Amino acid sequence: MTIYTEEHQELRATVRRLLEKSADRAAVRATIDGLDAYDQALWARMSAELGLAGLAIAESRGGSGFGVLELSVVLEEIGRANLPSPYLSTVLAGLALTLADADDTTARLLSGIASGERIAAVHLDTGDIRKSRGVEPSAAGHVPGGPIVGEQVLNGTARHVLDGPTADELVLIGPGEGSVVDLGGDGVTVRRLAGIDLTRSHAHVTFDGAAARPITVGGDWKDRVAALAAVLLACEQIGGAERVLEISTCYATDRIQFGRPIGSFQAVKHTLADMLIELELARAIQQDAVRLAATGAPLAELMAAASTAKVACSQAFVQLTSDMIRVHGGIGFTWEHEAHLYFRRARASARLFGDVSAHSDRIAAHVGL
Amino acid sequence: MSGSDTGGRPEEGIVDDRPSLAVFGRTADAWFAEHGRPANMSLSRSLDPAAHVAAARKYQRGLHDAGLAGITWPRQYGGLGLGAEFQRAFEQAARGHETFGDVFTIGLGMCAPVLLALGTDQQKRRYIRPMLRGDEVWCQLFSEPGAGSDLASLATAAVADGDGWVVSGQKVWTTYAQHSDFGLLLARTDASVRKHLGITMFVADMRSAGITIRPLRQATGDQEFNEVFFDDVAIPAQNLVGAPGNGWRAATLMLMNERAALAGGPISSPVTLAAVTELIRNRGRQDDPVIRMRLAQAYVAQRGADLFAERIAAQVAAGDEPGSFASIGKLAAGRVARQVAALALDVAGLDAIAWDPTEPDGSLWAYGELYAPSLSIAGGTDNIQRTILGERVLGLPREPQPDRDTPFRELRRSP
Ligand SMILES: Cc1cc2nc3c(=O)[nH]c(=O)nc-3n(C[C@H](O)[C@H](O)[C@H](O)COP(=O)(O)OP(=O)(O)OC[C@H]3O[C@@H](n4cnc5c(N)ncnc54)[C@H](O)[C@@H]3O)c2cc1C
Repeated sequence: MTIYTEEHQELRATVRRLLEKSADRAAVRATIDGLDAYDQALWARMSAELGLAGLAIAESRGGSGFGVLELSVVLEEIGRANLPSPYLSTVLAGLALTLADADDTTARLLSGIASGERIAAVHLDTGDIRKSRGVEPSAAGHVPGGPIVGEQVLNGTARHVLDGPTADELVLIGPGEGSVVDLGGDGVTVRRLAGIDLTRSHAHVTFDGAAARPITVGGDWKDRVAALAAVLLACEQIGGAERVLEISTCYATDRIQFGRPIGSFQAVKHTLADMLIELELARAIQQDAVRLAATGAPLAELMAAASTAKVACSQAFVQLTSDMIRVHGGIGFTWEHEAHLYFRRARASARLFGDVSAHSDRIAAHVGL
Repeated sequence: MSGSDTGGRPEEGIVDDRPSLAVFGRTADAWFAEHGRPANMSLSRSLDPAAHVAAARKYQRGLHDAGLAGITWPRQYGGLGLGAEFQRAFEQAARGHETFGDVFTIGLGMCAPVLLALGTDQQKRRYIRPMLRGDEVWCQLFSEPGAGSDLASLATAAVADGDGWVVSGQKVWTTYAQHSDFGLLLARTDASVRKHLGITMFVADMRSAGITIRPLRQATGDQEFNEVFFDDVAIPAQNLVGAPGNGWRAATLMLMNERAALAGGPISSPVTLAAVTELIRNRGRQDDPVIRMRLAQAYVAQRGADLFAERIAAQVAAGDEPGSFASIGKLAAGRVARQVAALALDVAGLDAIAWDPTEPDGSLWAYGELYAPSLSIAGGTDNIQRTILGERVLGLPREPQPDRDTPFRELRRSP
């Protein structure tokens, strides 16, 4: 009972081949060690050449008109490779804009994303940002180049914006309201942050009279986008967890102590079995959430499934990565080994788009408390 | 069950009068609306076991007569020959209702798939339909005092005698042997070869002369499992399942189906998540953040187990062997049961420790907690499942097995 068709398996194989070739351990390491947050040449191939950024964007906007199912395949592969990439943020922005797609602002950014020219990020925590209306260029108080009528004036800070350092545009997602900001525009300062996860970049983005273009959204837009964010991230987490188990299984088969492969010792074997159990139970939940998100399920059902997936996949990924380090012994604790890179990503992912306790509380409400 | 037997294609000589999925779903819904009773009445089985088994037989008979039993099984043996999607529709309709998994899972979920895959045509014609009708209940005669996890070291002996066989030895932990008509029995037919090779499977008629069944009392206080003694029990040749010496293959198939069945949770915890949620509300604990967190965690575990079980069930309904992968589901079901039972026990507080015997509710929470550990033992312990996953799914090297190549009669065995 898989949710994927043969075409999906082909898509998976294509992406896996590309990432195995262009984003192997050494390549990922080079990206991290350099100052780039991602490999720009690879991004160009993924987005422009293979059309992966526009998978879920309508054909009328330059995309290929698929949906969450196809994104889930790509995100699982990105998770496997532990790839530093603005893909998650960009396609999430694409889904958010598609849900609201009604005007020129959304149309333009969607085309930009689909063609691979624009990288987008989303921000779901807009409480600290003040918005006011733009004024006529002739009016008193208008700053040259600043927001005009039809635009909004932004002041305040968007904190911890995922992929903020690399994004061209930021989609602000508020309850019942949304807007798009050009991060290269006047009055915008992007401050890149240091962080636990070396494969992702974050920024505090400060607005000082910056211009934003409002977009028209439905009342439940924010909840829906938040649920989609959790589902997409869960896909990355599953991909990462799957790869972590493969690497660990391989190591336990090759590493000899006491004259036998360590994987033949029951303590190690059972640890790996437990990793498999965590992975597959989380995967069953993630697949269900993907299916619901792809078929446009009612919001309440989608939110419950998304929260369940976010909790299950966060816990599984953290558990698997910490087990991975232990199964590897000393080598697993070295800077050179990739184990800590997955461990870091697992820790950070568990906190993104709502942590385990926030989602658990939502689940408790869904169950009836 | 081989794929060709169970596919949705019409079979020769049989008029194709199979219902559409929609009609089938409506029939199932209507049947449960009229005859179903709520699940979670599992306590009834400890209060009056005979009445419970009688109710179970009546339930299964009703299902059969309504055209709702043996959904994916071949039509010539009494099944409906329908596809996996019909099985799913049935499960949907059955959700929340008592389905007497404790009585029927061993027969329908474990013995039948083995008979359908390895039995003779005559055996299939004789046994499958009465099983589907609830007329005959089956048990699993595998474990022995000296052979549990190491099932292949079993010592009950079957000796060829004229046309048939004579069996002597002892089985133990045999669930519902006292209510069963038949059982699938593993016995040793050759002690001169290594342990896996000398085993043979038989159909045992539980009313045969020489069989003595002694109920054992379980930790919960119930009497579900039994000791079964075989004293020179005659078994006719036609009751041989597969070839002599091929019993291990049959046993493995049955154990795989057992894990898949246990993954589905038909005989899992008597305490459900819904019951615990209601308990939390009744006790006014719904705003306690620790309780909310624990309930959410239990829900996540339950969803994982349920969704994984759906995947395995679809595989089985489609005619595939469930494989070693199903062990994940069995471990998950045990884990959920422990988690849910412990939460209920904590929320019920002192009422789950000591209760007024006239209040039926009190004992349920204690019962759930006492029952939960059995799910980590029956059907192969948690350790054994983990080893299976490590070796057969992940492909890790086996542990050294010093006894693997030793002839059975030279083995060191438990006293
Ligand atoms: C409620 C219930 C119903 C049952 N119903 C039936 C039935 O209907 N028919 C039937 O045939 N059997 C039945 N059983 C028996 C069940 O299958 C066995 O109890 C089980 O396989 C364990 O065997 P054992 O009890 O001999 O324990 P042992 O095999 O002695 O195990 C004891 C402990 O040692 C561990 N252990 C043993 N070997 C290993 C190893 N190689 N590696 C790691 N750990 C190991 C086990 O995990 C366990 O923790 C039932 C059991 C229960 C509890």
